[in-house]
Amino acid sequence: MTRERKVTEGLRKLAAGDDLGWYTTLLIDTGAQSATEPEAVARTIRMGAAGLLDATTVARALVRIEGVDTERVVRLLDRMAAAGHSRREVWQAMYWCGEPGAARLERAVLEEPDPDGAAGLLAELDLDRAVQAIRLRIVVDDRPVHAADARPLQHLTDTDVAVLAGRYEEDPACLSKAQILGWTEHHLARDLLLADRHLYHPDHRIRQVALHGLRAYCGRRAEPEIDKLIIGLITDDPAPEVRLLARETMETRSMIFPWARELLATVTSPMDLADAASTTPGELPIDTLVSWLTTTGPRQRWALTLVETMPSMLAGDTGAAVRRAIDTLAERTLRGELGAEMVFSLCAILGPGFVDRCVTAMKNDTTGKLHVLAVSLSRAVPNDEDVFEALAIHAGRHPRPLGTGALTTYQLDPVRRAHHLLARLETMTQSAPESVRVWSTALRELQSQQLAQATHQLRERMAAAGNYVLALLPSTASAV
Amino acid sequence: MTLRQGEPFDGLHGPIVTKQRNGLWRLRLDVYTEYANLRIPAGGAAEVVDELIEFAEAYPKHSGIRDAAVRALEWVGRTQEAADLRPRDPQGDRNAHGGPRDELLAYLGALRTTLGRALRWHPGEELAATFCRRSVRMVSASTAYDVVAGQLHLRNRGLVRGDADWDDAVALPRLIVVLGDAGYGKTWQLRRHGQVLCDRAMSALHHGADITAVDLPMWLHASALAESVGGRQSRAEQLVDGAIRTVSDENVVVSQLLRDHLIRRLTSGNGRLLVLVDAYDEVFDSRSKDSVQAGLAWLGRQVRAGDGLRVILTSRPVGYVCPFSTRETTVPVHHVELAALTVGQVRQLWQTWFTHLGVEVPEPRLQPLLSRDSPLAEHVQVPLIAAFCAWVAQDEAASRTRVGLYEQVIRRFIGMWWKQGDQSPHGHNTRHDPVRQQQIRHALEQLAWHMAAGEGEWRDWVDSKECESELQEAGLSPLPGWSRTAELVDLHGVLLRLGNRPANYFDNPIAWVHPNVHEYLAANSLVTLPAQEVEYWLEHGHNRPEWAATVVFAAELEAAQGDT
Repeated sequence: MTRERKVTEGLRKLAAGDDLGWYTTLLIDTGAQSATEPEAVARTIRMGAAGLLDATTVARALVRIEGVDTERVVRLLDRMAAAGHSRREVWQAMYWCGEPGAARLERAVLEEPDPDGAAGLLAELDLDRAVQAIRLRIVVDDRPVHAADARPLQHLTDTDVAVLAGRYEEDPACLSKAQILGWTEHHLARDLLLADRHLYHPDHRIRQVALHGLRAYCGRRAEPEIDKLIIGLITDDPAPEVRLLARETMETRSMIFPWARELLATVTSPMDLADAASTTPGELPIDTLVSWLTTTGPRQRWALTLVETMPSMLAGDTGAAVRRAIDTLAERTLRGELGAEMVFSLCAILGPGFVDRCVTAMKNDTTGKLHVLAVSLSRAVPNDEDVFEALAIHAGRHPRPLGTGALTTYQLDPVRRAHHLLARLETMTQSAPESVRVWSTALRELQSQQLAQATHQLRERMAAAGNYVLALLPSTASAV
Repeated sequence: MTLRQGEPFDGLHGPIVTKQRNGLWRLRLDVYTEYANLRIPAGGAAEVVDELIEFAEAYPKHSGIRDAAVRALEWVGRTQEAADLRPRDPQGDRNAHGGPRDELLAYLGALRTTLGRALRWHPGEELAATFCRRSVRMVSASTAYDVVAGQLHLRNRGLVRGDADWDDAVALPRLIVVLGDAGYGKTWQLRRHGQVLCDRAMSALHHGADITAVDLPMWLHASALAESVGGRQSRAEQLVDGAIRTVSDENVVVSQLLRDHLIRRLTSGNGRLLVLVDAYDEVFDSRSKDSVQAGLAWLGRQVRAGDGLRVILTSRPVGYVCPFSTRETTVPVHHVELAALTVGQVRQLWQTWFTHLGVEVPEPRLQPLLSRDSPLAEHVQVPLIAAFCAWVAQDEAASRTRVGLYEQVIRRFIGMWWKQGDQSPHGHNTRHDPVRQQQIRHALEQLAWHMAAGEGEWRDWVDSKECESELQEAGLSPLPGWSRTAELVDLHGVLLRLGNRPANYFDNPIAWVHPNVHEYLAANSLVTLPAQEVEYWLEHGHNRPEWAATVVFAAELEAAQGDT
């Protein structure tokens, strides 16, 4: 006797009036969708197109339906990319589309101006094919890639690496050639990038490029000998650009490797910080403080901390120069040029006025450079609805995981956060799938963590927002 | 080797023949030594140990075979015999290098044996038998912020893919937290790491290294830090005693001298000590949690105070709050997520699993699980699930559906089909009693539903008393001399006792061997409810990951029941 499918039917009913795609995703996971339910399939596609479901979920739903042509799913995914979905997400979805998906990834490696991770994904599916494709692109056609596609480069043959080495040798000022050579992680790359004629070339640009190549070569591997050389550059290289890059490189590596931290400490303490650390604020001449504040380096951070702990330094006529220096730092922070620690100190020193400027800058950011500011502000200024609204606007306009993370973890009453996120969805005027992804993901996270007992009213509002977002789509967005 | 039977040139005499014969014997011993040295770390110590002893006694001058025999004896926990076979230090002073060398070796051998014990349903006796190399994902600085704030939510994400080899990732940092969901094999990995550290330390000690220059591992369950520290016991003593308790099953007596030696290493911060703390997430009540947190914070300070001490801590990410101060940047806390297996690693796990059983991998039973259209394709990359599949495939084709696979797994737990040749313990006949098996199955389902819905909120664990009374209510009669809970924990292994405090072992909370097992059993109850109640739970489950898994299982169950 066939039992009644109460759970499946219940799920189907809920999915038909779904708010932000939760039940639809579940229904897809059960594999209960079928070609005989064109409406449900069309809804899945529309939810994907709107950004309520990610491309991978849509692809997995469709390829599981019997009789669906995977080639058509690949074409649908391509259309999603053209309509503004993140290409990385779309490539990820191709991963589930069998041979047609792999072929599409291969074509992306060969043809796209920037494969944007396609080679990396293809390497997971079929390493040989990925290596062949990347070889044709880079070795034969001499076209660059970014770090996301670097993985197959480690599998190139000695002969191919020799070609890349020759190209770098011919044009040692070319950043991409140095990086590509580095990503091969081949001993030839190491030898060439470390050669005096590159790393110690009279032209600082060539030294800088060689250092970029070495960064690519080292990746996240332990290379203590190279670390020592890079430390040497921090102290000895005559060009500030190279010194700064070397320091950045070592700061990154010091987060992974203890010796890198120790090495870095040897060039930080005696030369830069010993004088600063042993100075009490009262003893410090204003001129010195101002010069520290205005010069990029470890002393700048120290000087800012001094001001933070001794706000009296800002007062009166003597403090005018310090105030100007702090204002300059604030300006640079608002342009996204300075890091998280600065934001914390500046918030403490300059107070609500600075926070307001940050909020305005985030709301108006057209460059997408203010992620660090956004994340830092989300930590430095909790429980502020204006800050959360600015975070939501910024994350929607410039979608990145960091932004979604800030929305998810911001400290503010969950109902208020839900209200702001829903307001973003409700006031959209045109389809923007990636923004919808950010806001709906944050809402779902919010619900599963803090709004488990979401009020009926809120659920209804979410359903209405979901439908509103779907209605913004062109009517053609539901065909495979 | 098997072809080389008997004595070479048997029955022939003369100087040339004798020379040739001795040469062939040496060759055979060399080859056997090499073979043994490969087999021992691969879980084959028990197989080769007796022959090695025989050879070592017959050829006392062959140092290679003697060393291999000593090593094999240590691997199988026969540390006293290993000590007897080891050549005497010509100085004759057991503390020649400034520490209790032999005792230390005994402790390391015992720890190695304790950590190496395979799970009941895994093949072989040695953890190493089915272990495969793991990779991790380094948690980047920006997300580390979220980790620190205790806000890393991983339950409803996809598979974790690694970007660094385990060995590379843990080689150097001094404060490491390994995060991973249930089933990702955190304990498995940490135990294997502990074993490797024991090997290294024992090898260094055998080669005469100064004791103080050898990195020593110490292992403890996080709950060992929960006992309150009073005036009589310092934090260091508490930790060392916890670590000593780990090896208490091995009948190793740790003298005051060795205990003091370990405490000194711990308190100085400069002693070369690696403290491995497992299951930070398995400490539940808030008082214990506070105490464990304080213990770990103390440990973190010790690490930062010196340059020798190192700590690796494991935890599930859900609810994790970093116990080490994160304001200190001198020795940062490194968070890594344990990655799921790659498809290649899954194949390798299956290969070693069946090699250990001495049979070919049953490809037709397993291979379809990995195909791209398999509903289990991703799921099977979770180490526990991969192992479940291998376990099931020993006797039948692993089901290609999730519900089918879980049904097989539950059946095996209830029927106690742990290992081929394994005898049902304690003489009772559950394995051959279908009625009893049905009773257990029913009781498990009841318990699963009670934990999912009984209090209105999903619970991953219940206390021991509640578990017992729920099983009783479900009509499960106890076996003579056993509580119902103890039967399901200790005989069947489908439930676990969380925590590791021998003193009040029976009070420790009860959880499922894996959350998916709980969800699957709860789904079995869900499909039997009237439609109105189903609707209620579907609504209730909105946006709750545990309910998502249950609902998907339930729908799959309905489909499977419809198909039959």
